[in-house]
Amino acid sequence: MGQSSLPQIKSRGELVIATDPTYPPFEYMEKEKMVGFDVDIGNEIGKDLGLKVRWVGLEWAGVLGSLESGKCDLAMAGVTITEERKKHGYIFSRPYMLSGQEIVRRKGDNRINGPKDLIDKVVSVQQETTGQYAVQKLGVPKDRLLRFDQVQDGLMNVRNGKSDATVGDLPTIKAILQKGYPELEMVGEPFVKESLGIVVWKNNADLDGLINRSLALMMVDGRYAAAYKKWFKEPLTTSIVAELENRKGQGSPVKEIPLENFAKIERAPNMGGSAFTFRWDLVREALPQMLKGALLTIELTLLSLIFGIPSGLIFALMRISKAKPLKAIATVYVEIIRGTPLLMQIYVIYFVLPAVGLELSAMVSGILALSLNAAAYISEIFRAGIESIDSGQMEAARSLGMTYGQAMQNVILPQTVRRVLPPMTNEAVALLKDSSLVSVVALAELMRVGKEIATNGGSPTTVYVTVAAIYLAMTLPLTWLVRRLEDQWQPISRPRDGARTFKKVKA
Amino acid sequence: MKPVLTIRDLHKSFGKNEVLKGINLSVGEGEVIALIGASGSGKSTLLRCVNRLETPTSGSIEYQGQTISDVNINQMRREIGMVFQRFNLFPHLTAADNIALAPRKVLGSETAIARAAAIDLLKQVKLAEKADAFPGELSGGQQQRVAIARALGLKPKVMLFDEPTSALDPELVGEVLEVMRDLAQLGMTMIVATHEMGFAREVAKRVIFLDSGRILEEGSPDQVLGNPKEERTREFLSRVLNR
Repeated sequence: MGQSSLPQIKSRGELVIATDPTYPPFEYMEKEKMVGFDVDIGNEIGKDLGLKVRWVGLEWAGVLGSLESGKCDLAMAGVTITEERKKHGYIFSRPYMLSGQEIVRRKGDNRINGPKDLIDKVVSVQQETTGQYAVQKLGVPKDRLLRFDQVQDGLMNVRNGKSDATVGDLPTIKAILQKGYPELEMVGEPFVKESLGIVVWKNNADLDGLINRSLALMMVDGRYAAAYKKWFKEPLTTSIVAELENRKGQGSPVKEIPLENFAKIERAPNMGGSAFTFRWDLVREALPQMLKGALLTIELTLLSLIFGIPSGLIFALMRISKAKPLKAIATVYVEIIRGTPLLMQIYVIYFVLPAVGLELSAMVSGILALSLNAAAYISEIFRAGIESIDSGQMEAARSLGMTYGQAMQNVILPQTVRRVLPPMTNEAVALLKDSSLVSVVALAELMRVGKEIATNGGSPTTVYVTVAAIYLAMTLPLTWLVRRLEDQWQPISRPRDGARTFKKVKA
Repeated sequence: MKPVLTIRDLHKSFGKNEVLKGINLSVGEGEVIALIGASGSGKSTLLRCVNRLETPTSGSIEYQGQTISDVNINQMRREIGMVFQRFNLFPHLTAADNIALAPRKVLGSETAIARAAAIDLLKQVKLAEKADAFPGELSGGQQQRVAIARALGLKPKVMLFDEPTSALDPELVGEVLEVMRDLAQLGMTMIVATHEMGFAREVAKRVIFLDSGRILEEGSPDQVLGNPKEERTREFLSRVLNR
């Protein structure tokens, strides 16, 4: 998709707005409909420009990145105006909402009464938000800073006792606590004052000028006040309006453009194509961090295989066993794991188990979830492998006086291992890729690192291409290595009719 | 002659299908018995019951006065070797390792001793030079000879042969029968399910004709093969011999 510019937006007749609809009262889903303060304001901007508005719900990590790629024209997601983001090429409108970073603790937890008390505590935040930056600035070290995709994950974590406090945007925290989390409370006034702005990519300064004009109009004609009252459940006071006017300079230095100018713009012919440049500087800057993420990915995969393969074998042996209870346990286990998404299993282990008193760190939860998942799939691979061995092999071994266990160990399993090598490789590769899902419990593996860099780096395309290359660099050698092993282990076989023997088969 | 094996009123059913309908048989030490009969007459099932690869529905089997049961079966199988129609060699092990595996695991023999014994057994079946060949590198006849050597590895007192030459190309049958003949001459107690009437006539002391799960006729090879009393036996023999 091409980069958006006013003539193209005009010919499209549609304003595309990126957001993350897990953020009440700014934007959230209500009965499959996206609603909220931003949604009302954004729709009014569309009306002012004579455009339809299409809302695109993304994960927060993808919201800003969608602007650079031209997939969306502007972002409204309660985005805080920061100099860092401006530096990366984002243009902000004038502030359209006052915000600030608010601390949340468990009710009555008297150890936390202000920002200074956070320094020696475990704090969760939504990743790559100004909340995270504010907490980092306080001096909370990385290992006690748990970063999640969603605000709610942070709140859940405090409730579970996995962290002591969470920090987030005041309006959102307020809205969520009004509806749920009776065991949590806010700590005093926000300790960092912030302003929220509407975001466009740097090539769209004109659009920003129009937005500023539209916002200015809304603030005088009462539309802004109506939306404010509706979503923040309090009247818009003159002091808030004055403060917003005061902070006007916090937005990017773009002049208001009269709306009539937009009406006069000619429709552009469809240009097609895009001027994408691969940002080597960004790669150089981010590579060390990505490689660290890749290392964690490898660690997660290896540990999960180390636990998953033996347990998979045990489940497989239980499943083919004649003892009914063993068989039943293994069958139920495999069906449950195979029948539910891995992401849900990770959530259950990390967020739900604490509710029944089982407290696990993010790393242990991640490895546990991946191992349990891998064990189920691996047990099916082993089972199929064992069952594919001719029954005469077991009979011959038993007729020689071997016990069932001896026959399994010395006759059946050595043959099974050779046979299951290819599907086992598939499983290992799948596991390596699936390990990206544990990023939801705040583990900085490769995918997670990529997301973080893409959120603010300005060129998600560059970041994701690089991440993909690193994943390939990990999986391709694995497949290659196993193919080599397979060649060497090829069971010596003899065609029925010929006299030639094959010791090795060329791949 | 002291019986080594005594089978009493042995029944075996698979679901509703009764395959053995009351077999009584006593096998003396050093005796070679040829078990003949059409496919499906129960020869295989009878041998598999003796080795307890199948659990009898009723009846009993005694080895040297001791009833064979699930409890002592691993012990009993050391005394009773079995050779299968389809060889069932372990494809991931060499010929010598195929033979040495059970002595090592079951009897606890040391690796070097088990290998030396395996080589001796390979000499006995005239395959000493194939000690390090894998089953896939051997002809069918060679594989079956290795399988016989493997069954002999635990020094059994009784050998069961389940149609040992049926899966072989005709030109390879002779070498396997020769090994079995040698074994009989050494005084091994053998029960051989077979379609090889020449072998039965020459080597067996007693021929048993199984028909639909019952022993219909038994006696010396001359009696049963040369002058059968039963009409069904005559029919079967004329079918087999005129093939």
